Amino acid sequence: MLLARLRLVPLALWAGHASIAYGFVAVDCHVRAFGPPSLAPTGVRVALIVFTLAALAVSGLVAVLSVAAWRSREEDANGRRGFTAAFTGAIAAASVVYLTWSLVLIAAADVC
Amino acid sequence: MTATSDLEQLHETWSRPRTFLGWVSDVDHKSIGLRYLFTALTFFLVAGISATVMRTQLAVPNNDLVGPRRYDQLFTMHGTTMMFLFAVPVMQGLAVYLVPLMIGSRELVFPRLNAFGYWCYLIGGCALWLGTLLGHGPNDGWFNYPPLSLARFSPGINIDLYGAAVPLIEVSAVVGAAELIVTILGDRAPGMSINRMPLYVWSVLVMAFTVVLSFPPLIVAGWLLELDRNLSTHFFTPEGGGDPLLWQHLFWFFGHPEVYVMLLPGLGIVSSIVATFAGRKVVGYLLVALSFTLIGAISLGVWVHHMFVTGRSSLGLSFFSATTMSIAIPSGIQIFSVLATLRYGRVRLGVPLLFVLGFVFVFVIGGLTGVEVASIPFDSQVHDTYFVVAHFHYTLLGGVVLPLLGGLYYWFPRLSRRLLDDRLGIASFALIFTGINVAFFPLHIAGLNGMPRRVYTYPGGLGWSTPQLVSTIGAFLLALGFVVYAGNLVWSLFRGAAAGENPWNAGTLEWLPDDAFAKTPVVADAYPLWDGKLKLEASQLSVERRETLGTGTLDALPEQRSVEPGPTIVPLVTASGLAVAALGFVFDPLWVLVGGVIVALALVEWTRPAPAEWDMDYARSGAPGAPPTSWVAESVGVRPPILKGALMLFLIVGVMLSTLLSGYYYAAANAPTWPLDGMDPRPLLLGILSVLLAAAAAGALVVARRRVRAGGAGATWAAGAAVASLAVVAALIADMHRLDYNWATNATGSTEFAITGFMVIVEVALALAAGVVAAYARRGFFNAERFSGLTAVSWLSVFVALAWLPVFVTVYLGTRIF
Repeated sequence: MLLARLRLVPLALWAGHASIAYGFVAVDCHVRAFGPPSLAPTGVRVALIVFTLAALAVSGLVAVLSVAAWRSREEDANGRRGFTAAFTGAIAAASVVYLTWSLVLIAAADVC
Repeated sequence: MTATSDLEQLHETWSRPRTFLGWVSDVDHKSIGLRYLFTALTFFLVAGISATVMRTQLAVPNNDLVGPRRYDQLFTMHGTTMMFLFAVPVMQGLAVYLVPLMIGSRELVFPRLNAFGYWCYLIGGCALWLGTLLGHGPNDGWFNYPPLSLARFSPGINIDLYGAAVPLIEVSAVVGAAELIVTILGDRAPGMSINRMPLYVWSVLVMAFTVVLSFPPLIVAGWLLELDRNLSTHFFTPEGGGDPLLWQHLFWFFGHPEVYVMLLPGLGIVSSIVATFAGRKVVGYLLVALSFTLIGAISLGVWVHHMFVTGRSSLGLSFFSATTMSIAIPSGIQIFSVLATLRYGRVRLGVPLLFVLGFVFVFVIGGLTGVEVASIPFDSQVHDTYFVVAHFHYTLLGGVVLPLLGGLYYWFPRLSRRLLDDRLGIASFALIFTGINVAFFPLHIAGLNGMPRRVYTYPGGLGWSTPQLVSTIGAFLLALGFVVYAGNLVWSLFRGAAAGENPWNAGTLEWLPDDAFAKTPVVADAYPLWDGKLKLEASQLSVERRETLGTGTLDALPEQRSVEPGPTIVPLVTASGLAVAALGFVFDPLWVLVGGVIVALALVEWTRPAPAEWDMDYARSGAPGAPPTSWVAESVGVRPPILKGALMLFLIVGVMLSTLLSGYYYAAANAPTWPLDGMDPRPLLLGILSVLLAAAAAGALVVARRRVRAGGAGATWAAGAAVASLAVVAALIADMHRLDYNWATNATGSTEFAITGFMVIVEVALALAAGVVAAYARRGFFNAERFSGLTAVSWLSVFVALAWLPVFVTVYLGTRIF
């Protein structure tokens, strides 16, 4: 049941993460251009890392739930349950890869 | 009745009058699909002619065949036509024709909406080209960047035409996408669970969701540009606190997903052709469906790669660089799936497959250069050079045009029951494939040599002349290929060999014989014509009215019967009203009111039930054991199409409102102080009153629905909701009137007035809808069994009340927060 509710969340996280992270950095850089108050680069990185880790946790949860659903599928005469479980799990796994790579970027790239 | 007379009756029920009025009233998906295809291919021809003129101009240095002003219009209209008038509509037209056939349905869920979309597209496209032929065509590029496109620098009506017509055309795309989504998710043949949908249908489904999420921002952006140009607002004008880069964000949030909107159905076509000509199922069905979904989702997070040289922060850009590169993974899955299917199949080398092989070669080159320009340092060097021109022509010709040509060749026998001529087909493929590579490969070199785009001529001796000359020769080869292809279409339409029912021995339902229309296909595989388990069962649908079978979203179990409307002129009238509002605004803002009244009256007529529908016996009637009709489905716990359509409407309106709110916060974040010019914060009283009235309207409609459902009358409550919505409109107008600033004062005023103006339109629409359901409730149309119309409007009122929360926080509290 939980999986059914979360099925599309990793997709939204993948598409939304870049936009939200970009918007956050862009706003902070603009604000800094006009002087304080703004978050220091370290603060920006910490906020982004927290956001990314939260997204990672959700995507990871969906991936784990999908694998469990795929293994325990019952009464799957038309193969649909297995398909949706595999489909959701693969998207969640891809989202995990992207978010992990984002962590590297956040740690390494210049903020502004 | 006998089977034959049943079939005759069915054809009679689904036919239209053979008159001109019957023609313009037609709502049948096959007719509308063919009109989309014919219109889009006509626009393709016109855009192709403009391309050959440009290539002739650029063949040699210092050429003066075309002057700079005419050249500006040519390259603008070439891009605008190819992107807005050809590529998206042709793919949508093909989907409108094929999807119901492929999923075993008799019609799209909202046939009148389908016709409405086509008329919007036709009117918008003709307006653009009429203006161009009269010398007033858009001339600032298909992307139309401010500040060049603002009235100060482009004072004619050229850009107004773009700002008015393009949103009209995109309305067509959005409504088309909405109806495709609802149809695919709710009208598949029994047994066609989500894992048995043809891959082409998967591609259309993802494409449609991408359209719904990414096209509304361009509609809003077009309106904002028109407001800047005609009502002196300041969304994109720096002197009033606006920002030209806001346009780039809005445009590319639409513009890059649009590339995938065109590409996804192309990939779906490829999957169909490859399976048929390899004589086996596509290798990796799950992975291919997954890759469609990933391409659609990732495409929403890559738009800033068009803005790598606009001085944004490097960390911010790096996210977009990473997402752009990652799109190579699902694209690669597509290519490997094609190759593996061919490797493990029994390949027949037909002409459609030639186009697919051409796709693999050309699209891979375009994809590889795409990964290159996703790299920020590389893109900084080649930005706005001919390298980018070469890249996207490889991508679009490879990913869109070659699959489309292959697809038209493949489905031509289904459209016309005739075969195309293979000799002409091979000749056209050879010319087109050679032409693409000769025309566009040299442009990589011109770009790496530093040649900028969008110049009408250039000096010799810079290493640009030879690539440009070779490119022009290639363009004429390409044009010759298209002429041969078009000649083949026309010749074969009249003289082609008879095709038979399934000439390619394909596996999907669109190749069923025409008579199967009278039966209900029950499928057990993604390629039901191959597995030998397809059952054509006696249909439980009526032959005397236009019924389609509604099924569940995931497992496709029969749930309901939808009764679809027949031919009507209302979609044309509604589209005309919208066109009067959009295009009339270019000349006088008052035309918006005229167009709005036409649209409102047309929508009232649109929602009017047919006389027979008042009779509950008619609303319930059906064969013994048949599922309930969609009129009464909600009373037994099934969600009818009208409610699924309502959800799509909320998604579209929500994206539009989010766009406006984003514009506000973008302007606020860019401003040194907010509100600008030391303006006083907006008084709260009328804002709070508006929120309370909107909540009251929602509450009244919820009560109205509950009362009707319990067997009572809800007309008074629904009428009260209409009054409350009108009161919100009055409060908003009064609020805007008493302020000491307006939309033209600065960006604060512009963004606030745009958001509140949008809410005025939404509240007027809600008042109209509530008034209509109140009138029908009073006359007894709604009852404990039939109340879905009331449910839809009550949902709308709740949606509007919820939308008020971010609006109130932004407009009334925003200037206090920043």
